Amino acid sequence: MSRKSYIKKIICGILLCISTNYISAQNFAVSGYLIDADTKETLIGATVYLSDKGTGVITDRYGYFQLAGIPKGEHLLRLSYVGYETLEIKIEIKDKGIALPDIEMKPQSVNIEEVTIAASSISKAADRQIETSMIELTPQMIQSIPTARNDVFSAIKFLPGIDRTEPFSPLFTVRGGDPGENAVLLDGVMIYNPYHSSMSSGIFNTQTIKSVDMLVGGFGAEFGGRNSSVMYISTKDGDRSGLHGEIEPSTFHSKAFFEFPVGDKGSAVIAGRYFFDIVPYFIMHTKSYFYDYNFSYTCRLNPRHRLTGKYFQAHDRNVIDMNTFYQYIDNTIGWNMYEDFSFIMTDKWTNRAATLIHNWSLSPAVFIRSQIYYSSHSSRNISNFDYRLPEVIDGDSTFTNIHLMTSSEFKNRISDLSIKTRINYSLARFNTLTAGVEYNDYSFRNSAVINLTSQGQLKHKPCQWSIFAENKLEIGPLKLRPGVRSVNYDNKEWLHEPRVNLVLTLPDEFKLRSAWGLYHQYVISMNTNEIEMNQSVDYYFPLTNYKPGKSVHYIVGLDKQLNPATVISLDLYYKDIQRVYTFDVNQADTKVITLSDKLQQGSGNAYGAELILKGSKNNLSGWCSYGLSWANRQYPFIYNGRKYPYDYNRRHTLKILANYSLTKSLEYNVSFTYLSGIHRSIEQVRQDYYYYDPVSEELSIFPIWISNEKNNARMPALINLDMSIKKRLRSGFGKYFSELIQAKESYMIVTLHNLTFFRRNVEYFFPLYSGSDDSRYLPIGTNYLPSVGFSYSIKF
Amino acid sequence: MNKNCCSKTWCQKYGSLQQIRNCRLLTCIICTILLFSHNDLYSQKFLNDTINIDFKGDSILSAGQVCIKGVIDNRDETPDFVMYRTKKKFLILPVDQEILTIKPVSEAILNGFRTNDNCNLSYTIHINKFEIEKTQGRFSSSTFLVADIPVYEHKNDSSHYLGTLYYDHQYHPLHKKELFPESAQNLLNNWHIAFKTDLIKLNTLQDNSDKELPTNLIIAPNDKPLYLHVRTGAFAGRNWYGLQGEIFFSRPETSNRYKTTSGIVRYQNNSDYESISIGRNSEHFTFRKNDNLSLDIDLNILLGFLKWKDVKMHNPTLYQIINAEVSSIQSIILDRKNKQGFTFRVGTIEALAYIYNKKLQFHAGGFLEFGYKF
Repeated sequence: MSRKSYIKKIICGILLCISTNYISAQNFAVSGYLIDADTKETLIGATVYLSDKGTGVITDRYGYFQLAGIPKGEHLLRLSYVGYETLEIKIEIKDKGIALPDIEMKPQSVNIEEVTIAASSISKAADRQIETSMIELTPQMIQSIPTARNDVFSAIKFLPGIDRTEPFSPLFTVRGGDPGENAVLLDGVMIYNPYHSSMSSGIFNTQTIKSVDMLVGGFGAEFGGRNSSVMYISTKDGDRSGLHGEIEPSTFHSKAFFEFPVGDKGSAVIAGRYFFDIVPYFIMHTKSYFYDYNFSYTCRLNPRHRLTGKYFQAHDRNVIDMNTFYQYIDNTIGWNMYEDFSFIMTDKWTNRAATLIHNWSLSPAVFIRSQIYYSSHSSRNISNFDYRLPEVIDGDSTFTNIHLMTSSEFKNRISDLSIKTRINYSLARFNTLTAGVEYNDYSFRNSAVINLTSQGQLKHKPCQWSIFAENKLEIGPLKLRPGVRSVNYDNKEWLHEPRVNLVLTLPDEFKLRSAWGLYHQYVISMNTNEIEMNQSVDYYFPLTNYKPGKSVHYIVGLDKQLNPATVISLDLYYKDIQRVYTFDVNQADTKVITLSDKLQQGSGNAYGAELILKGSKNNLSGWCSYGLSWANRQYPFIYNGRKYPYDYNRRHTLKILANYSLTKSLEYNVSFTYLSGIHRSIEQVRQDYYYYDPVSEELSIFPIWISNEKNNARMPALINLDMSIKKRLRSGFGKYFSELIQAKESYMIVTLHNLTFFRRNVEYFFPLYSGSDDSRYLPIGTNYLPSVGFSYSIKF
Repeated sequence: MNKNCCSKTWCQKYGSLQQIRNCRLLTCIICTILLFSHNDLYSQKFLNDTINIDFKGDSILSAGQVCIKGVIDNRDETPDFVMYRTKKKFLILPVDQEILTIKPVSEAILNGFRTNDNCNLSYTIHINKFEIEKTQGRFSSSTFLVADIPVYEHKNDSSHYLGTLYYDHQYHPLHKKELFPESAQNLLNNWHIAFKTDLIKLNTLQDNSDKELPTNLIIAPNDKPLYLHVRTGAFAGRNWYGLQGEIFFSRPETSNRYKTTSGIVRYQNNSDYESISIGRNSEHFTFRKNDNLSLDIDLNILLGFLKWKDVKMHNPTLYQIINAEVSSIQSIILDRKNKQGFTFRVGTIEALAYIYNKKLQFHAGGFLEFGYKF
């Protein structure tokens, strides 16, 4: 196609768009759900194509599609989805639109191994691609990553632009944003701190997940309240054909998942996991465990109405008490090196979420989704480091009972009761309007005690109204979605967030994507990484007397389809962080009365490029991504207000994931990551605070390291190589068990971790209190040895 | 805790060493990717993915007096399949190797039998399971042919189910360096002789009902080819008690003496420590007394973690977190022969525990266990 005719098409399209509403009277809509013929589970991202008009849509997150602008007469609908047989349906439009009954698509008769991990996320048409920076993760992709341990939060860190923060922390940062700027939605329910402390994994059982959409920037007006990213997780409704499930048995970490029909119209899911950390129990005499479980029930009342109820709960208790371990070390090496050390860390978290969802196909052109949910998170994290010093003589005084210590206790509780509704109106074939309203009723309780001194408390119950509208237009090769989100937080002024996304299909299989958007955040996370040994949760804090966090996203991307199975994408982004907050937790106590007094406002930016090659060839599939990024922050009270590199910025990231199917029953997966080190500040001076208790005659000393420059050094790069082998069970206990329960598939998965153990990735450099320059620091890593993990998976 | 870090001097020194390591590492990774991306290196071409066994049926023992109407292979595998074997490619990568016979198993079995249709008494043979399995014991491995062969008898115009012949036919190699294809062929031929003998016995029962049925013929209509045992037990002795969980599969019993292996998890508590230990191949030697009762002696080797109760008193080292234990349980089991249902076990237990640099610990006590056989 020549450039001139291309431009003509766009101009004509824009003119045509203006008169959309006046010509729609002669056209009608078709809608319906696409479901798997065996399980009756809805299919997300399937293509519905109107052959004679050369136009199509993709099913949304609920497996629903609306195709408008169809004139009277007979038409052929072509339905296709990766791993399923293509289906063609004849429809006849008479005087009104058609709401089709559930359309069943049959899985193709191929082995599941032949559906590559990259296949399902390769470019398809329409709706879902209007999201400019979106990556879809399927359960198959998550399972193929060796170190992900079948966990969605471990898996997303293999995507470009997403990186972990601290080594032991499950928190992640997206394109230079703070960890607290990421929203995680589970079927539309906002989940706060969706992490388990042990294993740094998510609280979601992957067996219940149907798909994960990771929007790393430039997301539309439907989502708000976070400045960096949105992770939307869709879970299964349940298999209506019979009892099915999957179990992964193990002595100390097991999970089970069951789905089954309930009557003629319903289906249910029950899933659960537990983990008990056996090694610390024996070595450190501590009990660390977690469990999570969820229930779901979906009732298809009739072709127009679906009702779903879901409940989810997770509980964590993680105790690290090094004292007993120190005694073992002292006994082993024969020294009393750790006699005077004491280090204890205790984390207790609980998450609860419950929701009721009503999907209503009002007419073929109008779809309404209403939801009410309750979500809460509470955490109490304590850390205490204590070093008993020998007797100190100072002038005429002799001090005994001297402790060099640092301690912290953070409590956080957030609950969120929300009601929201969203309406989709297909005005015409190339014009879909989406609008919605949401009401949130929050409750916050926060408190902090640092070095035995209370840092204040907070109790607050704000509410929030949000309204959004966006209009998706298709003008020839151009898809455009302007939108706006307006928010009223805590009965203050309405703030507006305009956004626009566009996708332009170019000749020679190129596609140009672009997004611009303004984002506000009213609930932030307290940063405690300089006080706690390891910040593992977001401590949610409402911006009551402050303006909301604010950022503007600019994104441009280019895709090229190299062949039907391979695509290469380049994203360039710039994030103007106009307003961001941090907590100055080390403020002198006399200055502050409440936690909010410690809040400091600043600004920053983040920009970079991400290149990803994703696809498959013969038996090899996977992706390779490279990211180059910069991120900065600026606060009046830090570094005299000068700009400094953001704590968690990693300049270069290289992530490779490869899946190789040797045979029908054997599959290898390899993952490799190269991550530039994060920034750190070089200590210059140690400042000690003293606390004397005259009753116990204990003198406590709290050291704080002072730096003249902020983040002036970079940690060494981290390199990791892991491999897993997934093998169909052919003998032994697992095979007999799968025969007994007539399992469909049974696998053993062997994971080899840390194959680059000889490199000894250093995660921390602890400053020591004496010694020459070379021995000022104690380098500590987490992976000094390779390890092997075994797990079984039996699907029935 | 303030964990700011890293002098530039340190990082620079560290960085130069890392550059050399990174280069070597990248070279290895690039080679690995090239290795896996090339079509011709599809793994099975470097290791025979199929081994063909020359099994056409035994030709030594004649069973011409037995008339076979037909052999029906009910397995999900191909008609010539007898085994999957896992071999290591490049010493570490496991691949499956298929062992096939040159003729379909159903045809090979017919060798030596009469097969014409004009028989007053004939049999139809079904093959529900026919597979060579290798079990790894503690000190040696064993090769078995596991087969489930339901037999139907046709007399004049009537047919009825006679029973199922269960085989766990063990093979003992003639010499140590016997190659696997030869072993497999010998095993299949040996089994075929045993199978023909059994059918001859069944056939002669028609003339003389005083003769005994083959011991591996199970007539019960509800028999299962595989039973799952799940058991939970408790034991106690002087200053010592614990709990045990056990799980294993067993085949139908075809003799009064047999051996099974199970996996056990054991929690123990004594005056010095608590421990949790795992034993993968706990061997049970079972002697059946009647249809309900058996005598069982089991031997276990377990590896476990210890949690010392008083660390200051015992001063344990890191090596003393782990222990190795040998134990034995002698018991009487209430377990109905070849039937599902509850099981009950009572007996005595002795255990000898080794902890690095500590005296051997011996414990003895009583043992009680409940379970269910699915």
